[in-house]
Amino acid sequence: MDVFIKGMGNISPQRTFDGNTIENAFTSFEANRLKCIEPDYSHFVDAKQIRRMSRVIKMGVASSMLAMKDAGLQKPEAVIVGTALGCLEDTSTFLSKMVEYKEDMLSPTAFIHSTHNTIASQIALLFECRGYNSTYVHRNISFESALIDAIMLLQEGSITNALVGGIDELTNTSFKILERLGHVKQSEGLNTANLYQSTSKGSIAGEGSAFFSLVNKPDNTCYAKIKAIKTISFTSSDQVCEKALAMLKENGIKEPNVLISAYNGDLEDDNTTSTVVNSLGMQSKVLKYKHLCGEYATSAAFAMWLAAVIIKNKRLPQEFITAPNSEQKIENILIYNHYKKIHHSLILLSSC
Amino acid sequence: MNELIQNLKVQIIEQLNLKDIKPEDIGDNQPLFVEGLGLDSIDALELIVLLQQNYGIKLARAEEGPVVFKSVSSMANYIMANKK
Repeated sequence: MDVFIKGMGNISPQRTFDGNTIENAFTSFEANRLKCIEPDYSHFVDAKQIRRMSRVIKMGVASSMLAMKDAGLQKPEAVIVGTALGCLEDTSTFLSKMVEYKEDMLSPTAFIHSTHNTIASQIALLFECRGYNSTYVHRNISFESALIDAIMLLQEGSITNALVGGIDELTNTSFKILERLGHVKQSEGLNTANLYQSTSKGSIAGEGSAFFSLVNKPDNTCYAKIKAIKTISFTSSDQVCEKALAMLKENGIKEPNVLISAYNGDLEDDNTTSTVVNSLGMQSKVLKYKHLCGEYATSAAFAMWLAAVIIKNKRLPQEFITAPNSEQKIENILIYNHYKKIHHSLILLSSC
Repeated sequence: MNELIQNLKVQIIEQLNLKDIKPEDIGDNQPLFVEGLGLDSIDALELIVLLQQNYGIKLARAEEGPVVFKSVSSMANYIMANKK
């Protein structure tokens, strides 16, 4: 049984929250840290409920509401979230207070919200969804793990729709740590539009929250079909190439029309990406997306949003069109993501 | 006493993140829970923490909670009666 994307909501460093469209031009930034452009959350949640929510929870709740509204569904039958770092700001607040007050007099709200599964729980509470609720925390394949779970549930037929999201926030503390580890480029002279020309180590730090309403019966409002998904860990890039080619073959695809790739401007990471990309399809149009949302563990959710929008529109966003009047057949898109060569993921979408 | 009540209002707004409420919006004798400010059980825990952090007062018996946290005035009275 196939699984289809019926609704989407995306809060990202681009202005994506007000529509799943490629009409708006993407913005470039002179920064090594990309922060989400956020909506007015009072339009989504009432003041009494919102006051306890930290930024990442508000992002999750708002993007899930956008996805459900887009799908025209009232209530999800399952809520499944992938997040590598969870409610980082609340965790940081809670731990700081533990030190400050010597493990005494701790605020209950920061403690309650310091767990990774708070986002999925808050979404379920708001939708009054008492069904399956799960959170996957698996570094940079957290979103993909959540997606696999949702697909299996939908294929079993135990539910007819599921709300699935990938979400991670960037805080001052986490950004400082990434900088210290050398995972972020120097901000001086950096423009995200030229990210891939950079020869230095590191990428640009990002964040985002993309949610998808998935269904097992398509209609003409669906964006795309999720044909296949695979995660591959702790292996060589040759092995990744082999498994990716096998996945394409299983799905009757010689070369994907479009390949959304993991390039992030880090020389070492990009060498691995190039090995895989070059083995997958010389005829494929290769897109890069991390200059739009930054590098973060669940950025594949942003890539899946981008892929679904492209498939639905059957054309590329303006910034990816290299030759005027160039026609590109877009029936399927493969997303290849990895970070630091440890966990790799492949998501294959096709038109409905 | 008036100063203590004003301080408490500011501290309650900050601790409970009541962004849309100003100190002057909270009546001295206005109920804090259910009606009035509409606080709930998690807020009660936050108020216990507020008393400990700012005034060094531990609520000795849980059954005192509804009386102590009835309003800002009742909180101020409890602080005056128990401060060291």
